Amino acid sequence: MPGSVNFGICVLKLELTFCFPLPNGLHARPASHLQALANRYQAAIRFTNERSGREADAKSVLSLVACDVKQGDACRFTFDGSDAVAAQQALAVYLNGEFLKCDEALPVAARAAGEIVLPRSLRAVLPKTVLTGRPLGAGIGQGCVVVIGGLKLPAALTNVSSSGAESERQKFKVAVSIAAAVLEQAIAQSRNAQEREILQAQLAILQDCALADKVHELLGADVTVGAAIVQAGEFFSATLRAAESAYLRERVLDVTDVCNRLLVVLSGQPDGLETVLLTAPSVCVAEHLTPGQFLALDRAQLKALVLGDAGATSHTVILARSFGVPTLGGVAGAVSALAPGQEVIVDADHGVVMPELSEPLRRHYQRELAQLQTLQAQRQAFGARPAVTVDGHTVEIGVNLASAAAAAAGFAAGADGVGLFRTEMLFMDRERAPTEAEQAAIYSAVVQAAAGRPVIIRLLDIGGDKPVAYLGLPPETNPFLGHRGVRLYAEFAEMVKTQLRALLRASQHGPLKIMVPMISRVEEMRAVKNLLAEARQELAGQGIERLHPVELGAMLEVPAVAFCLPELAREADFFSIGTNDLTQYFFAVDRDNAKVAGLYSPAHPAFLRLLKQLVEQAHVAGRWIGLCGELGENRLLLPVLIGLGLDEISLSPPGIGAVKAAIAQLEYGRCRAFVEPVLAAATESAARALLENFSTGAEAAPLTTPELVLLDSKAQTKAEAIRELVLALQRAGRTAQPDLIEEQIWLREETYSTGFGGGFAIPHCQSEQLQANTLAILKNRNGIEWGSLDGQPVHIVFLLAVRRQSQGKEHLKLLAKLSRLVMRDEFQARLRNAETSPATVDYILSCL
Amino acid sequence: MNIVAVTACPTGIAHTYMAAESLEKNAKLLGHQIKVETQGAMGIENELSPTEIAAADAVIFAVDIDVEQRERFDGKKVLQVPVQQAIKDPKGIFARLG
Repeated sequence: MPGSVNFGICVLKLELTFCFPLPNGLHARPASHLQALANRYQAAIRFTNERSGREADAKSVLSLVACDVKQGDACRFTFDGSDAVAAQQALAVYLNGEFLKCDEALPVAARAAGEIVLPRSLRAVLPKTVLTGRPLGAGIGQGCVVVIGGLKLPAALTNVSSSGAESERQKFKVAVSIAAAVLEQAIAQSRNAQEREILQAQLAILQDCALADKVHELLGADVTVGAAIVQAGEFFSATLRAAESAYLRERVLDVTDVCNRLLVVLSGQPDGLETVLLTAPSVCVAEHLTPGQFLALDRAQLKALVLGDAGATSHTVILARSFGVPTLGGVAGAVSALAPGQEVIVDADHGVVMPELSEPLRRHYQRELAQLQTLQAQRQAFGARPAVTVDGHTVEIGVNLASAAAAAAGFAAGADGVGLFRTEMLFMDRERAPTEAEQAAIYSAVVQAAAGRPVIIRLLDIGGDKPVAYLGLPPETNPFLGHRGVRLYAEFAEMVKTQLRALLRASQHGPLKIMVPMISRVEEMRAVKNLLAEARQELAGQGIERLHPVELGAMLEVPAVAFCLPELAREADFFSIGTNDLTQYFFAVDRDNAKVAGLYSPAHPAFLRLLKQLVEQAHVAGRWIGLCGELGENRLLLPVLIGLGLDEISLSPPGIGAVKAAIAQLEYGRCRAFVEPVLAAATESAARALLENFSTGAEAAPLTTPELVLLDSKAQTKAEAIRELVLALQRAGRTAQPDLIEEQIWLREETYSTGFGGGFAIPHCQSEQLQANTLAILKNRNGIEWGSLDGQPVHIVFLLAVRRQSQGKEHLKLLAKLSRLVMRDEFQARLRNAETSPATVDYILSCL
Repeated sequence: MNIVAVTACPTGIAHTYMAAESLEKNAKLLGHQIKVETQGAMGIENELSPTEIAAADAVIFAVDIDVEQRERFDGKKVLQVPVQQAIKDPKGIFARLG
């Protein structure tokens, strides 16, 4: 709580001076309180910020806000008019009392769990200013900024001409009163104190005399009220953008929102949905983006998404992931900081947006993009085959989908089936529930795209957190523990039966299974079975008989099911573990709450024991059991998931090839034996230590291979050369963590340079992140400055990476021998002259 | 001259062995006898025996970390240099032995 205000009163001039007390400066909320008080008096009240020299009418929120007041600024009110004394006294009382309570310090933006370290090669070329955010969808995207949801004249108002300044002025007045009525109603209905405050601040902006003055000023002979509102909005946004306080800059959104409300009223189109056309490779930037807005974007041109406000579980983010769109969330001030049309690079793996693109930075990302493409091609090659372990154990790899449009991408990536098709999005962002025919067409499209592969479609999973207006669900204080999923089905039985009939129709096109969300008890499963039987009868009544049998299964996401699985297995034909919600419910942790997100730990032995219990009980009952959720993409846990004996793992399309490739390196026998010690660990860190040391048997790979030899390096700096080499390690499957290897190499280089003279360097490290001890070689024609012992540029680089957990000394012996070899003149000469990668590898291996 | 040497560096992967190779190669060129013990990632290799140490005219430590079992060299005069010195300028090291 800020301290008390010390102000001086000068009776003669009727002034009030004070030092600004609120931590976030004078933004829209406190300004609306001051304005409300000032408006009770006839007197003209001027406000001055002595630091910035800016002045304002205290009866205008916008002009107050535009004074750019920060905590500690010296400020002054002056009063002039019949009731000036009363106004001065009232304001003095208010400033030292109520005003201090009208704003609280904002929570410091939380960092994502597990802070990301940027690789040195990137840090070396990073521009001075970058925006940071939470990585939500992996990858890198480059394109021009397209801001969605900004201020834009609706189509309905573009071809309208002015009906004269006076008439346009009248239209503005009416629009303001309608928009105000809408806001007042929303304030009255809101149960959320913060939301009410924000709406009240918006109401103040709407009725602000500065806004009206600006609009009136702009309403010339040919200017329509719509155009004037857009211009006025841009004017105030520009003023706010220039403010020193980051918090004020973000208030651009409030002004934009208010102006949009006015434009919606004027256009007479309540939904006012804009369609955004992408004409070039684009990075879309938005504060909020609805799933509908996302789906309307041309994905061929969409290179990345930057969102101000989005959690990992938002549906837009789930959609973006399923289409493989690089996505960052929680990027504070993205909308105000990035200018439309500006070219940017979004690195969603490292959580940064780069607004300035220097040549070295472009070169860095050309290399990274090429690497991603190569890795993707490798994954696709694996994706085309079934996932089989070294010892012949097959696991189905399914795809998680949220729209029929994404099915093709899933199967192209190598999915063996659909492990989870979410149907919520068909029901959201619309006026009424989709019809049976509409749903049947979508489900049939998925089943047909699957071409005989099994498809699991989940029944509607909706609740207080996924508002669907036409259901009229009241807001709940705790939607995740509330009326959602299967618990809604009794109340909306007709809607569920419509969905079931649509699913039964679609099942005629191929193998379709129905999954019920949020099952916590046997009764719920029985009730859905009854609904399914009714749906069958209704179809039979329409002459649609002899339907194929359809399996009905339960999604395991409420911990209670672990204690009634044998009974559930009598009612359910199959199971699928929904790990995202199961983990949250199991640990009682909301993972979007930064304070407790660290407790969301699916690698914890307690959670793994739960998984074991579920899989074992399902198999005892003779039931198929899969897993759908982000856990399926966790490489560290993969040996345990395989060892547990899951029949299927379902994940989003980008991960499929990688998981299949990883499974091809595993031995089922080893994985089974590995489960017990991991589950017996007392803590998550103990389990992690075991997981990190899991040996796949891949460590017996040869020290070097032709793909680890780069004969024509384009590197211009030491940082680039090291990056090229660690990326070669990643391409050769030697590491999944090139950034960590890079960091460890640099830690070694910091002691002193590994350039030992004669144009050679031998960077090296020990690391836990290696599949096998590895030698990678790079040749560079131009020479690279390495800080060598003889001061000469380096032309040949040997990178030695040794497993820290190496048991046998055989490979270390080879490395020792290699270190001696590089000192010999003949070896150096032979390498300088080696023309091809295989010849280089053969020569080196023959020397060892 | 009859020389014994020890090489060791922090990671023990590369420089330990490069320095050993460099000392051996250049000693031979200068007509010295040399045996180099390496203390690297594989522990002590080519270990120097008490007899060998006692018989040596000179001892070189080309090391960036502490030498293990240093007491073996008690009473001997030791020339200690950074490990990269042995790679950069081995002849200079031998010259300092007089």
